[in-house]
Amino acid sequence: MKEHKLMLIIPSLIGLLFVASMMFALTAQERQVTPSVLVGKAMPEFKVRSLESKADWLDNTILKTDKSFTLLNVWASWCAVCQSEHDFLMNLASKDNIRIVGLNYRDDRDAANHVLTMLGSPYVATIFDPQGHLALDIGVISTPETYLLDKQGIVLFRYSGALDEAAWQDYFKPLIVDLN
Amino acid sequence: MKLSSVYVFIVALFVVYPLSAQNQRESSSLSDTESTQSVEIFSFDSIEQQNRAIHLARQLRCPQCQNQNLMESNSPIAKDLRLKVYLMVSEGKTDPQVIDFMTSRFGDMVLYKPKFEPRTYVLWLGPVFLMLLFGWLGYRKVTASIVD
Repeated sequence: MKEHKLMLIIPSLIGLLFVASMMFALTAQERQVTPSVLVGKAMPEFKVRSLESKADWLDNTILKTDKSFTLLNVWASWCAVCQSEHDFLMNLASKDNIRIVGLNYRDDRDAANHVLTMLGSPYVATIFDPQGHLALDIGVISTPETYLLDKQGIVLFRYSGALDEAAWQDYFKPLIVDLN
Repeated sequence: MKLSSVYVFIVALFVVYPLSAQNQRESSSLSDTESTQSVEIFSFDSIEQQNRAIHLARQLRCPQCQNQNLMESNSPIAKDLRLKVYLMVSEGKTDPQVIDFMTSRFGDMVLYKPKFEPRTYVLWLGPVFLMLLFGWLGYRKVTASIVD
């Protein structure tokens, strides 16, 4: 009798564990943390024009820094969600003195520069990617996306969606504390 | 008199609205329309190549709208990736090369059929294991009741 009960409980537990792990995997995706395949790797090699000045080239050295980390923010002037995170990025850049590199995605140069002159620019430099070639190599899914890079430009984390205080505290802060 | 002016207004609305929508689209992003056009009118060297490319694009999940494949989805990234698949096929790249290109950028998530590797053993073998387990338990139950 006792053995019979055990034979029911153990398989049920195994089944329950299986379902629970599947549900955990599903909710992890809902929380906007679809991990980037680049985590632990450097960004692919690139040499493209700067958004701010037509004549200037930018390459991977822009992602390396003497500070403890860099943010790479993918945005576009046609992306409404990007504008909703603009104020937060401005605060990070001015108040917290955080180094943010922009990646302007599938945009028109004049329209993008217009946004930066109207709202101010949180970026130390902006990579201009009008055809989305570099974004494709990086694996950008949709704007806005924000990548956390260490000193050497190695990707530590990718956040999809508008960055705000809650996301900053939940995802970025713990990783940054480890870097300092 | 009143009715006819309403009529004119409605007609004007139908004429003006599509025009302004079109203008907006043209001015919003040149690069977007460029690549959209090139994917809609892409021409292959042979019908086999076309079939292979379309078959591949159907096998790959759109990373943005995850319940659609690259053929079904009209999101910008699906158009980009569809064009990339077409280009790679017309360059003579093999199916595994195209699939590698996609998974190396967007992860295994783009595959509808996950790879069979240590990380996915539970996923693939879990249901088989559960079925065998319950089958065995059922068999035991039945034989036990026969003996009784």
